Amino acid sequence: MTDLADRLDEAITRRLAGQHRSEGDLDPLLAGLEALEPLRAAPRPDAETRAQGRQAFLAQAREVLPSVFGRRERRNFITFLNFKELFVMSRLSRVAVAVLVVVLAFGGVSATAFAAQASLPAEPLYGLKLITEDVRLSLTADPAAEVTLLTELAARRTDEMVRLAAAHRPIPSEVPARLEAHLAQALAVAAGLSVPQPSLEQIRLMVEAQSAALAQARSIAPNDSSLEQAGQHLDRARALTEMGLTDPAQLRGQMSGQSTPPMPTEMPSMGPSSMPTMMPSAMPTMQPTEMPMSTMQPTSMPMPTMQPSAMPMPTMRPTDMPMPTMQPSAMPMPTGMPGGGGGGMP
Amino acid sequence: MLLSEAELLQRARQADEQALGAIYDTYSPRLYGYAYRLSGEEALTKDVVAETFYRFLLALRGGGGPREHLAAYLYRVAYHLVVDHARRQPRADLSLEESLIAADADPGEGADEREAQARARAALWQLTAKQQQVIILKYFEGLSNGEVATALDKPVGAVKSLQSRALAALRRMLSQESEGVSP
Repeated sequence: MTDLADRLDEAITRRLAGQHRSEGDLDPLLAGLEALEPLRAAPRPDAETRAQGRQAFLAQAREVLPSVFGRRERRNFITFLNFKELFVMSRLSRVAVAVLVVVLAFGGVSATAFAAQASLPAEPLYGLKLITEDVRLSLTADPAAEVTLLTELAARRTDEMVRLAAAHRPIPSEVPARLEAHLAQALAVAAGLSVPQPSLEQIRLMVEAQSAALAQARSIAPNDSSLEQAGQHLDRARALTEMGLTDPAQLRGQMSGQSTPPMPTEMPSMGPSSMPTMMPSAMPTMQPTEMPMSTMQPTSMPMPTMQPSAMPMPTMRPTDMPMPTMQPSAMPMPTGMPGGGGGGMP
Repeated sequence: MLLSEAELLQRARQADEQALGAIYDTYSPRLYGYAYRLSGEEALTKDVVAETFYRFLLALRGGGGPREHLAAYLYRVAYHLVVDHARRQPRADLSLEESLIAADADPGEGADEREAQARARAALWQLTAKQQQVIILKYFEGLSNGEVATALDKPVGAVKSLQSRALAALRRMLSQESEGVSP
């Protein structure tokens, strides 16, 4: 097979270079390519379409990318402790204020807080790290930004587990529990957005990256139950994210415990009893909006319809809400790629 | 001044509009052709191209996105968008025979070309997802085996095997078609 694959590859390379000649026993296979040749004449976008698309893309870039810089600034703990800013934040919880007063009461604590960011579970500064994270969440009013922060925190929890495993240190069970909470909260907030796809895509990308990192950690500590739990949480989050990307309304229903969608067609490794759901009673009520959801509706406009919502939605505060968890239930998983043996087309 | 792909990506991460514009100018026509070959729908193709670039921006915003092999990254995103659309709106022209009926229903100028494209696209969609991508990316988009391997996150040897199996599957389809058997 390898020899055939190599010879065929060389023959195709020659054909693509314009060297049409008999390839002997490979000719019947190469005839398959000839059958696809009509597809070569694909249209190209006209000048107007290109110009409109370019303009829309750059407008989106101006809208999307600067927000990154604002978020990065908030990562700076000193900026984060801007006193004036804190007191104009109407949503700042009393607990957050108390924490900040304590922090500000001790000179030089900023440096300690910086140092805490690199700390690991069971280390002295780890508690401060968690507090600063909770306060940051309290200060994040925009739901889309909150999802961004929660995905960052989920990635941090995975990173901590990876680092602990690499150092052959025990992983406290609280770490995967916090990971689950971050994932659940991120999904809940994303599901409540009028246009959830960008946030869900952000979660999906994070979950993929962290799953890969966790797989490496599990190769170091294959019997670690915390790593195993973390892997399950990421798998469930991935399934829910994919469900949301496919059918946002279904995810919303699932998050608010309102729907019982059909069972999946392709999830052989996970039975119904292990299917995840968000604990509805612990989650804020996410009301579906009247906003159009589809991103892929045929249109003559080059602008995508997905835009982060500017509408503030109810969000969960870590300081005054129960910690969300992903509980097993009869939750459905998104279906796999359709088409028996085919390439994804049903 | 011509910038390398790595330099373009670095500048794009800093929201440099010139770099972002250059990326769009370079890759949007290629993505357009790619998405059209897969879908055969012009409106969907426009949406896929726009959505692909939007997701690229979101990836940059999240600190992710490609550090190199931008084309492979964009093709991969576009492919998943087309497949997601197909999942929501199942196509009618799943078989060669059905595609012929669909083409016959719209006679007129270019009908022969549309018919040939419909047949070819129907054959393409009989392949597995990975086989489709190997064939389109290599044969139509001109990517090297290494670039296709990056797009598919597979080793080069696997790309060659997928290519071989895809051509074998196409040969079987052609054989069945000539014998009057539905694939």
